[in-house]
Amino acid sequence: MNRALRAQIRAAFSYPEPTRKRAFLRKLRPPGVGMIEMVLTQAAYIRGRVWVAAGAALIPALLGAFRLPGNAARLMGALLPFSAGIAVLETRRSRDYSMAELERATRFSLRSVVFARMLAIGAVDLGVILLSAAALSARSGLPVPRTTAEISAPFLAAAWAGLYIERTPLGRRHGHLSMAASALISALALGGEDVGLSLSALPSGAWMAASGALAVLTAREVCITLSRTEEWA
Amino acid sequence: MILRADRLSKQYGNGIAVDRVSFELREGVTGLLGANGAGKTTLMRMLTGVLMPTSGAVDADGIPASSEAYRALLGYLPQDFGYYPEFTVRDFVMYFAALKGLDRRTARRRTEELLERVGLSGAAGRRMKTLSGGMRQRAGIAQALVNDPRILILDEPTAGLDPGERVRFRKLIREIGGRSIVLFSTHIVSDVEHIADHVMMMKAGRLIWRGKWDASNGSLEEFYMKAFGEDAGHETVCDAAGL
Amino acid sequence: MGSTDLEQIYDRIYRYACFRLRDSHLAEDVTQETFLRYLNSGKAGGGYEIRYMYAIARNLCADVSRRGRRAPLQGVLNAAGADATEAALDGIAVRAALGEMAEADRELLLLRYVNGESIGTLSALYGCSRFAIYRRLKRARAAFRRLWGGDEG
Repeated sequence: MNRALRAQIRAAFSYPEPTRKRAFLRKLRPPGVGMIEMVLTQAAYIRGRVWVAAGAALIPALLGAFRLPGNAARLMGALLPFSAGIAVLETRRSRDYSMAELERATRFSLRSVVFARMLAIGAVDLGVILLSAAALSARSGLPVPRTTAEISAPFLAAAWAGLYIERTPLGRRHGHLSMAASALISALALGGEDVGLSLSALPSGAWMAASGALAVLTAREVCITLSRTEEWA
Repeated sequence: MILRADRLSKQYGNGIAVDRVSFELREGVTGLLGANGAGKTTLMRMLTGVLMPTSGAVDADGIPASSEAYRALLGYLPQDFGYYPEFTVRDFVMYFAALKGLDRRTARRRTEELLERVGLSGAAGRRMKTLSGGMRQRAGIAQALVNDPRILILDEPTAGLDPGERVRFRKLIREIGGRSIVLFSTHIVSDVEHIADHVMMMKAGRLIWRGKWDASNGSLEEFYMKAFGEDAGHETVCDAAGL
Repeated sequence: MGSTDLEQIYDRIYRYACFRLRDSHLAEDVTQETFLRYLNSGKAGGGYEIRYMYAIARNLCADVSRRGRRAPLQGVLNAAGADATEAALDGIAVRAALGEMAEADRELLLLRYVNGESIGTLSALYGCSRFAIYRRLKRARAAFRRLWGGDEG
């Protein structure tokens, strides 16, 4: 159908201009936007280095599973706290860069922004942990839940410590104290065996209990962080 | 639409930053005049829902300021604002378009339109940190307008703008005031004279005067100097306005 | 969603309602009711889905028609009110041809070539496959060609 004919058909179907359109549309409340969409939006604005840090932790898992099966879990335990530390730093970006007030006044509010960021990064970190645990377990013969607990415990410890530090006056002033905590936990995970901490010899039950407790503590810190975000603005 | 503030107060410890301020605003431009420390910024932050009042309430046609529906109507430019260092001008406006619930296609279109309106199309790809103060302020104005707000709150919006930018800004605000409620705070009297239909004046946390200001009231600048000079008390203000 | 996109959606629904109801005032009522019902439906999670809005508008138009509130034919195909002496001969022929077509075919041409709806939207609206929509469009165009007698191009 050629353009001229389309134009004729359009003209044939023309009707009187609506008279109440503008007034109605200006009163209309916008449709809701779901949390998933919000998370994806925030994920797009999370800095690349956060994803690199999360993804980089996969490398020793995959390498370690095939080259150093005995030490792979230790290496993972040493790297993942830094992923947690970088993730914690992302939660304070709004405050650090004086964007909190502007974000607070938008539809989604600052709390939603921070929550969405945590969710996006947490989901990727969880994926890395589970994939790594699967790869390491396949190689080492240890059960997947045990391996998962062993490599997630340092991550959770760093996340919990980092979030706690962030809400102290000292932590609020000095943005990298949470990373210092991650470094300490990483050092413990890597060198613990050398100073007599026989963590790898702990039974599965102990690892599961430890990572379970750390997960609860971390979840609590996340809730406290979110409840306090509105004070940032 | 009516933006209503009902006996808004904000207290910090023993100090009262805003003291039982009440008013109703309709479509049009209102200028809020006051010296530094008068409580303008605190008032504006309560009107945007960023700050919880100690007492009193804010609503727009009954929609409370604490709700998502209220914030969806809102555009806000604070006195000071930052930016993420990796953001370009376009990224900055697009980011807020996303937070205000615009879909990507609309966000892109509105961003380009507004960058054109504020004279930043040529700088759209530049990092925010490379901009001058005036350009950054214009980017801030663009993000405030990206969702075509029905309530626009601007805190010292002309700070840092050169004369040409100020003229462009005044024209933009007059246009938006034709269909939205615009409240801007300033201590630059000429901005109010040129743009505002209505004037409110704050001193020591209280609203000391509000109404239409026209030539029959005399010079706004003189009135303002009298009202906000060091020796001017509340009584002097009322006498000067003939109230 | 920016105002222009909303305005376009409003115009599309309004044109459709005008076509169905032959009354611009009623059409605007139906258009606004469509928006309100859509927003209250819980489907409006990610924006405005035009296919759902057409479905709501279609049902509303059917309700209005059933209540017998259709006004006499007015403004349809811009025939009666138009100044026929100034209308191009082509325009008159097009309108005449459209006027003689079956309502369903006319509706399809409106949605596809005036409102610019995608095949996917039409397929969802009519509850049939894309292939069926292509067939129906082909049939509608053939009917139009037959009645118009010109070169479609």
